[in-house]
Amino acid sequence: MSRQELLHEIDEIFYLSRGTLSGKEKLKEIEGWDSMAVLNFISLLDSRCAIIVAPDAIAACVTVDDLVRLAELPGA
Amino acid sequence: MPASIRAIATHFPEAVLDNAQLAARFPDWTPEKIEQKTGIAFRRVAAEGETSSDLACQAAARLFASGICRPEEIGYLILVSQSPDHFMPTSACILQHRLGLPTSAGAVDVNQGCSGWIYGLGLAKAIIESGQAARVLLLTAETFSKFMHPEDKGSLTIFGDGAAATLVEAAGDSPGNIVGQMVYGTDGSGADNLIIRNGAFRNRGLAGTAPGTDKFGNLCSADHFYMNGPEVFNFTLRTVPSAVNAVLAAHALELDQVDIVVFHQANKYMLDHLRQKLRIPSERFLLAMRDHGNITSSTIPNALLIAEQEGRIRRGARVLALGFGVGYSWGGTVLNWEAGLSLPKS
Repeated sequence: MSRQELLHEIDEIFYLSRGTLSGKEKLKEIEGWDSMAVLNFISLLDSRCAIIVAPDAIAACVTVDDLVRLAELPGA
Repeated sequence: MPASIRAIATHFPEAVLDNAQLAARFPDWTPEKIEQKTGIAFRRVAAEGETSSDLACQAAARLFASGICRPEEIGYLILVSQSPDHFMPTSACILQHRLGLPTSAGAVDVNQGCSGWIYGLGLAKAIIESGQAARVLLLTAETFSKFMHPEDKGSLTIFGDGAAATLVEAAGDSPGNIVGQMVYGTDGSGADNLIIRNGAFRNRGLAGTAPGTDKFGNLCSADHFYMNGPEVFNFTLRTVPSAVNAVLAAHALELDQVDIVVFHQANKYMLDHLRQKLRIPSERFLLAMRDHGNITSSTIPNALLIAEQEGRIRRGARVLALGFGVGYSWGGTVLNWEAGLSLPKS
């Protein structure tokens, strides 16, 4: 999965149009950043990247780019 | 004589909490979104003064009223519940008297949650196969609504109240629904993620603690049920696949040799993800939480009963059952569904 594909998947978690998020957005400023969104992100990384990410690591994220880094994408 | 599941009956309180009522209380959600995510349309809510043992009593009475078994034929009663009538005496002892079970019967409470039916079934199997009793009445019952904070929308959306009565008996010469090898697991490091902190002795005198929010914004009240959803979801991702493999290994089976998989019916979102992760075809996977929500220890028998009523389990089917949750605790087995259930009249 590419960084751009992952951003599109995160767009979907927040019910945003594809291409809305660039990565620099602060999570707390995005409507819908709640425990359900966290579950969706855990589910996304498990199903698409075979990574089970710790919820505490997600809680420590400030920006969308911080979430992307948890995906450990090749070359990222 | 191997242990066999003969019959299952359920009972639910009258009051209904539907998604429109929830959406009216929590306007950032719509009824459609709630059902889409959780798979739940309705939950039953116990009345003030209506306890788990009341619900269990009604489920057992329904089973006896069908004529499948008489109270005096029960040799042992197991009540699985985390909401007893009192700290003491054991609720199962009260139920022995209310149900008219023999005074020669054993009766015990098992404090276990979403894995509880599996644990009760394992105890019933051991009691029967060691010759201690020929018939065990396994009751699972919970009034989760009484544990929840009125503003905890996540828990209010998922959990419902209800009870199931499962009759487990020594298989005779005719076909039964044989209970296979039991597989268990426990990881108490997750205790804080599904917990009611106050009300017993560890935090004695602390009732009345003001609620706050956790790092994910969930309401967190020490006097009420708290669930750390992301941590619990992670627990299932780590544990359920390996637990399924352990159950399969104990029966020398591959997953494609199992006809029906029934997990604890936590919520649709979680089960859909686990089903896809384990590559279980949807037609072999039971989802039965729509009408009653997550009724903790009663979800598996309720799902089996619904599947039996709908004709979804053929005779001779291998049914893999797995419970998991509070503790953390998990357990599973394979049921050889040779006879089907003796169905009480509704």
